[in-house]
Parts: sequence; structure tokens; C-alpha cells
Amino acid sequence: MFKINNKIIVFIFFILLLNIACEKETEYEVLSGQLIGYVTLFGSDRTRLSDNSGVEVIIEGSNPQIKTSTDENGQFVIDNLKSGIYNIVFNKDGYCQYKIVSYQFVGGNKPAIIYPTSLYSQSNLQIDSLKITELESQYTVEFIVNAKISNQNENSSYYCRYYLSNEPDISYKNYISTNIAYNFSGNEDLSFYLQIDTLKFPIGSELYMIMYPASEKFQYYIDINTGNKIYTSININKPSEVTNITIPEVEAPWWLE
Amino acid sequence: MKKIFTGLILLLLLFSGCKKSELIQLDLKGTLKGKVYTLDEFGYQNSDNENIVIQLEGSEPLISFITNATGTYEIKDIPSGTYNLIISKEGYGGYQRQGLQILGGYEPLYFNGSIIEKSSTTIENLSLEIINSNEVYLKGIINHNYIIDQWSFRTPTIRYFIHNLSNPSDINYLQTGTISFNGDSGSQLETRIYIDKNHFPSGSEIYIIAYGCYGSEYGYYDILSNQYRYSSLGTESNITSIEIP
Repeated sequence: MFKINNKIIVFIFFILLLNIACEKETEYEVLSGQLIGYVTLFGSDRTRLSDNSGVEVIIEGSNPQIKTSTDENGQFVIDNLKSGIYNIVFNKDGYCQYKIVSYQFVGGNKPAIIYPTSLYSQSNLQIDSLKITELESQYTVEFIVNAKISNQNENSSYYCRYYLSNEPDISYKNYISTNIAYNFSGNEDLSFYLQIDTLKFPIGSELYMIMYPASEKFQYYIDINTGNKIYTSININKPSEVTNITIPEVEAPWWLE
Repeated sequence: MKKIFTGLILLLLLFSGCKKSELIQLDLKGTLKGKVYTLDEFGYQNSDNENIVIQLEGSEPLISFITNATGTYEIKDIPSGTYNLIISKEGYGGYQRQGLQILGGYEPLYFNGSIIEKSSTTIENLSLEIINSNEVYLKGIINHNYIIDQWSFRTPTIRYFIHNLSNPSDINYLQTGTISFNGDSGSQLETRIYIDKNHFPSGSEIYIIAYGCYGSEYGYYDILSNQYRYSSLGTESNITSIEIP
């Protein structure tokens, strides 16, 4: 028999204590599964293309980041995606980028679906000039906007999207209000009336405007940092110049006097 | 002896590294709840919603529920996951909600659905006749159970499916469309249909099949084919073909 040293026993207990006190790391096993989605491409004449291949699909929020691309039918398949919330970004050269924000993916035995998403060919319009002129108007603040457009597809209708702000660093990301302007005759002159909400743009303040060529009217996603709608079917590389005008004073309506 | 103790201590030290990890499997469960009902072939809601089967494809073992006359259902303790919800009943066109993601939690996921009786409208002697390279005449004899009068706004309808392969069907097609008919049962249908030149250029052979169906589009989206599945279809017609000039 051997004599057990007290010191050694204390030491062993100390180590055991250390072991118990050590914080446990917990890993959660999450589900994984398949995600299937489709992308439809629209050409410059705003019709569907038959070949929808070559769209890069990025799963933002996956680690390592998952990237894939679509086949001719526009289909993309992502296997073994872990459950979680992702942003899904769609890119193709010459097309407007689109993004699905905060897509919740559960995973499981059956594939989940991203319903056909449209990607629009970038508009090749050129906005040569943009001008706002005051319009003599009773009771309301109204302007007339004139833009000179170079349209390569002659006589084909087109869309432009304009943004309004009271700060000079206006862009499609940083604005107060936005709307679409269109010309169905394909004419080079785009002009429209603009009625101003004086709650957003008070009298005496400066109004800034910028315009982008657009391929379509409605598609957007929400920028979760600013809460702004980011309209996606505009050509961000071809903005007009920024133009500005001072909001004039108007006669108060007689019924408010 | 000392060596043994030193060894033991070293061993303990080795195991005492702060790398204790524990794997916990998340087993969230959820409830799916809602109401399903049936429509007859004319689109009128049935009062009896008994024996509608609701299945969650993708669950193991298969979760299913059979409704009583009210058509309400509640399925508890569904493990979180992605499922295909299938609603079916004998004699009715099926409905599916594919890729239904159930995360789970304390509140139920609410899902309502309906299924429609398969159409009893039939087409005999389906044939095609060329008008030009963009259009063809579609002809056939329609048998149906609709009452045709000047007030009727529900009319018998057929849905056609076109393919360049010789076996067109409701799940194998490149172009589809509907034709509504306001003649009496047993009378001749003759109508123009437009041919999609992207799929069927000049010189190609087209094959067509038609089914009786409900007047409004009724069906569901199929994930793997990226196509709509029409669920009110009745019996199929003969297949006929023609060459596009």
C-alpha cells in the first residue's frame, strides 16, 4: 500500500473544482433543408426572355456565404441551407439588382420556395436635362417638370423615377418622396405637373430633385437601416443632374382665412 | 508512486480545458389550424365538408387529419420544418400548398383552403385547323351539365394544353389556356386560339389535349416544375396534332 499525499489530494480536488466551474458551451442543432427559387428575366422591350440563365444568387447571412446561379429555366437550388433569416440578392450584368430582405427559412424534409422573382434589364435612356419651373397656381404649390430624354428605342414608351428631398445629397437611397413619370408616346420631352405637400417641403425651403431612367414601376425592397423603399428597376448608373427650386409662398385658401 | 500521481494529474489537467460543449437538438413544435371546404363543379360551396383529408407530406410518420362536416381542422405538435400541405377528397381535384414552412411556437399557423369537384364537362372529336401561322381553329363536341340560358353567367369551360411532344397533358405542357362555351350540351365548339411563337415556330408540330374545367382558374403552384397545376380538370379528350405553317 502507498501513502497518499494530502497535498496531492487537495490538488486533484482543485482541478476537479476547476472542471465543474468551467462554463459549458452549448451548441444548438438547427434544421437544414433545400431552397428552390426561380428568376424571370425581362429584356429591354419589357418582355420575358426565354433564357433565364446566369443570374447570380447570393444568400446574405450564410457563413461561409453561399453563391449559386440560375439555369436556363431561371431555377436555382440551394441544398443544406441552415434555418435562419437571410437576404437573397439577385445580380446579373446589365440587369437591375434585386434583393429579398429578411427571408425566413425553416428547413426540413421538403423544399421551401422563392416564388418567381423578376429581374429587369437596365434602361438605356439618357436624361440629358432636368428643369423645374414654378407654375402660377392658387392655393397649392405646383411646379412643372421638364426633362429632355435620349431614347434609343425610338417611339417606345418609357418610365423615369424621380426623387424629392430637402437636402442636396439626394439619391435613390436618400429621399423624402418618390414617384414615377412616364411617356407613352416615346417622345423625347417628358413633362408633368408636380404638386408639393407643404408639410414635407415647407414654404421657403429648398426642394431638390433627381431622376433615374426606370424599366418598370413597382419593384422595391425595404432598406432595413433607413426604412426607405429602394426601388430596384431604375438604372442607378444614369442619374440626371440634381436640380433645385425654392418652394414659393402661396395664397392661403379663402376657406382657411 | 509519484510518477503515477503526476500522470493522473496531467490527465485531469488535460480534460479540464474549458472546451465542454453540449449539443442540444431544437425540437420546436407548432400547430396548424384552419378551415377547408369543398365546391361543386359549378363553383357553389357545399354545406357538407366531411371526409376532407389533410396531409403534411414530408412528416415522418405522415401526419394526416380527416375533417368532420364543419371542415375545421387543427393539427398539434408538428415538428418545425417545411412541408407540402395536401388537401384531397374522393372525386375532387387536389389542392397543395407546397413548401409550407412551419417554424413552431405557441400560436397556431392559420391556413384555409378549398377544393373543387372535378368537372363533368367532356370534349369529343377534338381537332385543329390552321388559320395562319399564329392562329388555329380548335373544334370539338362539348358535353356538359350546365343550364344554358340568357341569365347564366357560369358557363362550361375547357382548358387546353399544347406541347411539341406527342404526349401533352395537364402536367406536361408549354402553353395552356381556357375557352368558355355557351352552347347546349352535345353541340359543336369552334374557336380561334393563338399559338405562342416562342414555343411553336413555323414548321413545328403541335400536340393538343383538352379537359373540362371550372370557369375560374383553380389550382396551385408546383415548385419543381415552376408551373401551375389546374385542379378542376375532368376527363381528358383525345390528343390531336397539326403542323404550324
